[in-house]
Amino acid sequence: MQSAKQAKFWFVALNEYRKHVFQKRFILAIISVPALLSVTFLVGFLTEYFNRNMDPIGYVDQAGALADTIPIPEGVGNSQKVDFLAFADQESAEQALEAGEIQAYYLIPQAYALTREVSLVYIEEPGMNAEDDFFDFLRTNLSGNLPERVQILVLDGFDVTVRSLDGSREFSEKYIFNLILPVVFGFLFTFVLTSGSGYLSNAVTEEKENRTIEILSTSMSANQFILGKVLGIVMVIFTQVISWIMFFVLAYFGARAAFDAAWIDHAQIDYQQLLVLVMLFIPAFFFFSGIALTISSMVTDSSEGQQMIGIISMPVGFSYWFAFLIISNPGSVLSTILSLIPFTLPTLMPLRLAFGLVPWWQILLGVGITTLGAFFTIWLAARAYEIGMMQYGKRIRLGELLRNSSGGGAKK
Amino acid sequence: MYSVEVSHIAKAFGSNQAVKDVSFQVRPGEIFGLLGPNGAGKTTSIRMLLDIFKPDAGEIAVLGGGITEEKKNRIGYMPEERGMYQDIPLERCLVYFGQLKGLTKSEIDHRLEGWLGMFDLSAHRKKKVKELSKGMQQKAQIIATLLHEPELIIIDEPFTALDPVNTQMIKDLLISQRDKGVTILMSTHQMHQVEELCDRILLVHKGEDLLYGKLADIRKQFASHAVQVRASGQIPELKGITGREPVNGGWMLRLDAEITPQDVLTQLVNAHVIVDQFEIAEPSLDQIFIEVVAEENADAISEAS
Repeated sequence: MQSAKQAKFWFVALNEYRKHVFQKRFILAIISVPALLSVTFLVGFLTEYFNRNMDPIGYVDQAGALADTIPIPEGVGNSQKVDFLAFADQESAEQALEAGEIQAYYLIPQAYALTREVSLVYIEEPGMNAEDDFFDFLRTNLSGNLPERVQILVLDGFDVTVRSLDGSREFSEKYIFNLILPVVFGFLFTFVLTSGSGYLSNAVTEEKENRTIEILSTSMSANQFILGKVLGIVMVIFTQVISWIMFFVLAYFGARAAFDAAWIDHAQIDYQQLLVLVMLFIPAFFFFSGIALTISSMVTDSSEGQQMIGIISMPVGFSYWFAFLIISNPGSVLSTILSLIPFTLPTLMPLRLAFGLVPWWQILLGVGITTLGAFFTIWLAARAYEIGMMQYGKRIRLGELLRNSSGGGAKK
Repeated sequence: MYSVEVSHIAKAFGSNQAVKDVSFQVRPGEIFGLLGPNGAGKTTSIRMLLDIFKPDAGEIAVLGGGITEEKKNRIGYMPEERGMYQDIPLERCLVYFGQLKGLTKSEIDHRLEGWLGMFDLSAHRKKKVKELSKGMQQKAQIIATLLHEPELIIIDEPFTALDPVNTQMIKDLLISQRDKGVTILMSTHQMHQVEELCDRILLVHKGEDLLYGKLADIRKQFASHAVQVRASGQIPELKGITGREPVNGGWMLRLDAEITPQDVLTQLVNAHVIVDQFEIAEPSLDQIFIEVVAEENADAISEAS
């Protein structure tokens, strides 16, 4: 009995969670993002697939660059490559093109060594793969006489590793997720806040609309009620986010298995950075949830609440205006200040992490400020709930909320 | 110790003085009626004693002091604005309310069986609340109020939306709760319902106490010197009767100050009248209320002039 009394906020949280999660619209919301991305990927894949043409490509080598041809080595370029047919002169290549034996032909002029320019001749536009395959073929043959290490660089390109002076950060193809993850986290936060605003704006107003608010207020304290609501909605949002993350992880391993892309194979996740991002994400979401619940307690209906929460969420969107500043100078005073303010921290601190070095004390300070901010907004939400719970059809003014909250007695 | 002690509470919302000065005590194990017309200040008074609103003035003690989190589990409250979650099954809704009152899931499951059976709701437990009739939702609300076996029940307009059968059922239920020692504070504007149930009442009008005390004493206080008689055949002329008026198929006989009801009955028997009903006329609460309000209004007009 005693434990049940203490855990009332858990019952509120679980009720809130079950109310949203076991609904068709929630399941649709979870499926919609992976479905949209899958469809986008599929459309892209099909577009490329149907624009491929595996008919041979001809070439007329007036410069003698491809005298003794060697094939493209395995692992370079597309996995399936077109065949290349040499023609002695442009006339025979033209005849083969008109007869449909080749999809196009390249003319390598005598002055190629000077101009490095070739001409492509076709009747119907050749497949998207044709150009890539021909230049891989050309590079392979032009670098054939070079030492093997140089030839690898010519064919694979350079892998530049940028390392911070203190050695704590490194950026290379191997650590591409160090750049991608913070940016994705910023966008994910914005997206989650937008999609979560519906739940948040309804959280208290629906209790007013259902007339359950009197039963709740005579069963537990305002603090327990608001804490339960916040936890419930955070659990709902995290279920959504974790489902999407699982989709991306599956997609990642699927892509590794299906595609022969070296960067996917070599890419590694910096788990320390991931932990920092999660540390930023959680208090920031509680902070905004507290604000949203304060609004939900102050307004008369959920649509009004949603509009106001939209306004409060605007700093998150506006913070991208400062993205260039952060990217170009992540260590500046303004970048530092903006990344410590709870309204802009969820998007700008990840950008600083992606493009610069952020000292640990600043990360901890940002998390600390946002955590304190979260406690404050949740406390304020509880006071707004106390004042607004019995005011059907009447909005509470901000001044009234602050006056009553600072006076200690929040109840009307 | 009283279960509820309210002393000179007042509450205003802006310029609207909802409660001016209300005081009453509720004794343990009694059914107390908080009566008054719509807008009299009953619900605001209840919300103050439940700590939903803070009073502007006055003192309130419930179960021996101010409302605490622990005390909330000892009180069952059915608000005037019935509140259930419309989109979830009835059973889940009741389990949730039970948990908020400190019950464990197994305690709720055990108790719910009996309550749902008693109210003929067992077959509807898996239905969404919005699929239930208004009467069923009202019964479900009563289960939510009583499930945790509270010491003090505060119930606001309990008979709204109930048919006569269910109204009687709720009355019987409230009486059985009182017999178990539970204190009940009932607020209603349906005064005739109170007459059968309440031990003591407070009549509130325009946010102020109007009448307070035992129901029987109040009735006696307002009883006119009259008897109500229903007889087969004509009632002859009787000595000491100053007037007669038809009431509910019988007659209200107003008596001279020197005549007792016993004298009237003796005269009727001597006149060989077959008496079907003979009782000392006591005014209904509605009549008392109208009389008191009329007096108050007359006083106010004379004071103003």
